Amino acid sequence: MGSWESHVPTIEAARAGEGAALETLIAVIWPHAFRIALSILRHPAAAEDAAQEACARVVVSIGGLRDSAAFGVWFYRLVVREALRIERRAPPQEPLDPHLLASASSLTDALVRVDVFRALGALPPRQRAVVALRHYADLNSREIAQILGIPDGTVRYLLTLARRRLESLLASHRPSPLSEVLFDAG
Amino acid sequence: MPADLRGALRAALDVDTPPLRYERIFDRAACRLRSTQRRRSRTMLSAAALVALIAVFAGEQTGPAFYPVVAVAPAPAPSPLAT
Repeated sequence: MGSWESHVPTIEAARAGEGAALETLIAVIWPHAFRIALSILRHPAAAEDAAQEACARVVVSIGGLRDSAAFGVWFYRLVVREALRIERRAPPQEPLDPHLLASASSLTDALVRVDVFRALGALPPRQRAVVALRHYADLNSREIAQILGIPDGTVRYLLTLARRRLESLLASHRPSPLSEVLFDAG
Repeated sequence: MPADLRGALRAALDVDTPPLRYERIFDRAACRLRSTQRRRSRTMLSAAALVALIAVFAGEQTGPAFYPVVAVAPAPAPSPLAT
């Protein structure tokens, strides 16, 4: 997603304790929280849990945020930490949820979605987070380093590893048999 | 094969998001606030107990009963003169 600059007035009003602004802000961040958590956890129910917890932390702590311009990094840090915590304590074991496929616009899209989620599943959770923050949230390696609390160079290294692995997994992509998608999409 | 990683990832994540349930988020926030306050009050209570213990201990050491102990203590020996 793009910059948070257009949301700065809402963020500042929420920091000042305006309830309506806080609700608006949560409505804005909700889809991003859910999708980043989904890319790490790969299961909608677990991702919803992580996104709700991250939003609750935003509600509790936004008053202490010093700089509205730093909101994006701060918010993604809350989401990623919560998703990694859930992944560490109780990694979702269920196969890919059929609801993920229901919203696909075509069968081909659904098959690609299955393969992307499977490929993500082949990565360690932290690499999934790096890939999602880079390619979904459009953050640079310095911002990702701040979010994960690791050096900038480590982020670039993890990104290279993850890209290589994903590209090799997706390069060997053949449409998954329909029966496999419907009954064993883990 | 998907043309590029970014496109594939974005397409895969372009899923319907579950409905936003404000009440659950605010319930979780309230729960988190309550547990923070409980933790804070426990910490303050522990700190107060520690201060009280220190005060009691210090009172025992500096009370009138402590002076005779100091009075009868042997005086330190004079240091030898340098030759």
